[in-house]
Amino acid sequence: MGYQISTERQALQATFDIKGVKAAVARKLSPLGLALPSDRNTTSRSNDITLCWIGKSHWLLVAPAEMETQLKASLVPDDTTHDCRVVLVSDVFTFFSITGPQANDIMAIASPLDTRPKKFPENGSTFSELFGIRGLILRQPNGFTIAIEQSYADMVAAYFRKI
Amino acid sequence: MLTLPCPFCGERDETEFVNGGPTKPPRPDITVTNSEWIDWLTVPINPIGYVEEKWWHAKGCGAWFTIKRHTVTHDIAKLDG
Repeated sequence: MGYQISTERQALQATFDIKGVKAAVARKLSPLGLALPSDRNTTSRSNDITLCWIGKSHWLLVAPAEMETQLKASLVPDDTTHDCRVVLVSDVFTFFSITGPQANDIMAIASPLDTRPKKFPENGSTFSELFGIRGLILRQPNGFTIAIEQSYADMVAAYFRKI
Repeated sequence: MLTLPCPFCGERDETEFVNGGPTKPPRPDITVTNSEWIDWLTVPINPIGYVEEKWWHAKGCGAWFTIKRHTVTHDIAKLDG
């Protein structure tokens, strides 16, 4: 591998797609001790749960797979009686980590997103273009975590093997 | 490369967006002539100057928004959100 990076296909993550008015989403998440991120395209964290603010009235909650049952009980996906809608989408995404001193260089190849810290902070999370497809980008201490639709996972893994 | 001002994400590269075409004047009245109807339905607005057009942040936050873009200089004059 020519670049000083390490890429790893991560295990399945419990992922919930949340849409709704801010106040209703905040109420829904408060039992988890999770506050809404204060800035657009950033995350908030509580224990192992990460909440990404990815659109005007749109959030994505990501947690380890073993928390899925507990989170389902708390978030009650597909419950229409609330002002926000929660959909379990764990099977939609495949997550990869890209770490190492040249992780930024790989992101510059994969995405047009400006990942300089001034534009994409430590708690940054956003959807952008990744290898020509739509993908979620999260910053982590030594690089990035990306999530792409599962059907593209083998294609992206093949790209990583080539670089 | 064109960068577009998404109302949620801020300036982003053109490749993240899908052009939704120019915004149209209101749908004509039912008494309109065939020729006027065809003009409204099929003839794109393409001035040398500013055109109001819709964009979809398809690979980003999913927002639809309207801008005024100069068809020659690509200057973006207005963002409606």
